[in-house]
Amino acid sequence: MSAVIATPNASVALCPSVEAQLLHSAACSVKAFIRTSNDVVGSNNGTGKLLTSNLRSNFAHLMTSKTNMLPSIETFVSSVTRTLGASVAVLVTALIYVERLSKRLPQKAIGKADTPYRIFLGTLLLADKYWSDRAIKVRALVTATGGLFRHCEILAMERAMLGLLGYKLFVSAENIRNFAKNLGINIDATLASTAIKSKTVTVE
Amino acid sequence: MENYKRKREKQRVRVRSKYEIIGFISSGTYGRVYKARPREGPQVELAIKKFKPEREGEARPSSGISQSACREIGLCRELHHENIVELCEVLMDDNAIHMVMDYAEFDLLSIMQHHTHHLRKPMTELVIKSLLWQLLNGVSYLHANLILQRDLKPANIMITSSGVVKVGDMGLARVFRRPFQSLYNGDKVVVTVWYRAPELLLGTRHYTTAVDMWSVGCIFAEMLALRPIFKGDEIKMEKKQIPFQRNQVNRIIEVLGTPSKEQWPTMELMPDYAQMKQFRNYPNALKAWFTNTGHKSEAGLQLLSSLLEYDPERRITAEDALDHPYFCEEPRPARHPFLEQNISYPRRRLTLDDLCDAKPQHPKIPPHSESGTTGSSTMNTVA
Repeated sequence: MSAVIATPNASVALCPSVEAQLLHSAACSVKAFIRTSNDVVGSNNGTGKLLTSNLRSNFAHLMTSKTNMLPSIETFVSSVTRTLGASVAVLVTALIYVERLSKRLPQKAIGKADTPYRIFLGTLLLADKYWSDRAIKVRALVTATGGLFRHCEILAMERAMLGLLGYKLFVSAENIRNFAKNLGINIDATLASTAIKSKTVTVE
Repeated sequence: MENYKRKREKQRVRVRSKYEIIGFISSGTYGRVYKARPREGPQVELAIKKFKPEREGEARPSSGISQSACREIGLCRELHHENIVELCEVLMDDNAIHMVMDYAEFDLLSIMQHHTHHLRKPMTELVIKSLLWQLLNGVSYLHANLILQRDLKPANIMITSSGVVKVGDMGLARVFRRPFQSLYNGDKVVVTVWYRAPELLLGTRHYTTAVDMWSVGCIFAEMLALRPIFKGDEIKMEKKQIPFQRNQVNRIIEVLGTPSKEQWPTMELMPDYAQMKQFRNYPNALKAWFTNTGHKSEAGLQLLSSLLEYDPERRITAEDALDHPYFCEEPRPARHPFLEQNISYPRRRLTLDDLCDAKPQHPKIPPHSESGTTGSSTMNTVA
């Protein structure tokens, strides 16, 4: 049985170039968290493959040839963002949280192979709750990740992220404008040229 | 990584080891509120708002940390003002968010109810004026920081035992500053219906700080009359369609008169403007309403009328309202009106039987706050 759920129609459509740029920086910033851990994982199992035990089969369309590998973070970030129709403000806010996180965590902090994915989902969920009046349903997020993470795992990520951020979620319009500017994006111009569109997602 | 986890786990503070829970205050859809005091340091009274913990295997899957908790945490951690509830600390314990906040002995709803049911006499002008001024002072601070409260009502206005107003419940509040995100998101209804501004009732998508000012006007009127000025019957949402609040609109025009084009030039652009044709014409009866309350200040009537201005563009701002002549005439507003006037109200009743995490207790919700809230979009704060 499937039900069609309309996602918040305040999601502002991104123009392709800006979208690509934003998604790229999102991928880069979360990826920074495993620069060291890849080696660790690699040396541990000797294969260098990123294994995840809870990978569900319905993520197959995003997988590389080997079924036991995580999709690339770039693919993951852009797929999740598009499926959810996340807005510019939400995405930039999530990036601001990622930046704050990297400043708060100890220098030698290392994660597991799926850490960047978890960081991305956790910050995206918090950023969305901070800005949208109708928050993303966790169920929709489970679907958007293709079942890669379970419902309770996503909830745990959100809680952990909130604690790691020191419960500091405040982001002002000015913060967003400046952050986007540092990425080389003029957010006001971007928003002025885009229209508000509504998007539908099918949820199992 | 494991070391880091262990270190963090060690640093984790348990709520009960740091604070002593004195009693249970109230509960709502979000969770429960307790009165507490710190086990060490200065002996201050605090309120701890415990959000419902997330539990696995519940019938309805949890959607994670409640959005109102996120908003409240996100905003309150940055806000520091005498007339805004101070968030002292946030703790995560037992998978539940605990917000440690200033404790306030009263809220405006409980004070008004005490006047209605026990004292059977109106609030004095000095008290009304002092509370209104402080409320405006808090709202003005929020608006200056680009924050809309969006759920101002008597139950959300906390008052300390000396009479200092603390605007609370920022769960619906948010930063406004277009164009980052439209404030309009489909089916979300903001502001409890009795305090909802006409532009919201007519379905506007781009509302402003003026929606809070309308609520302030309704609260001012309620302090004068000890009953809600526009006590409409809420029409419940059906099939995710936002209903037109016909009865509420009717209550407003009965008192303020049918809005004219001169009064509100952009009214015709409101999505639900067509609905206005169904009402008969009423003259403005606010002066008669005001006289009926027994209050006499001409400046007071003027201020009320400026707050209840139909056109959001012309409605008085919080900053301007603070300088209104009403506050310059005698009696002048006081900072601690209860203390200065030697007024005391019965203290908040606490119960002790809810200290263990047994079954959630649902105290009787007074009809005032129950009928005044909208589904799950606003929170029931029970006095």
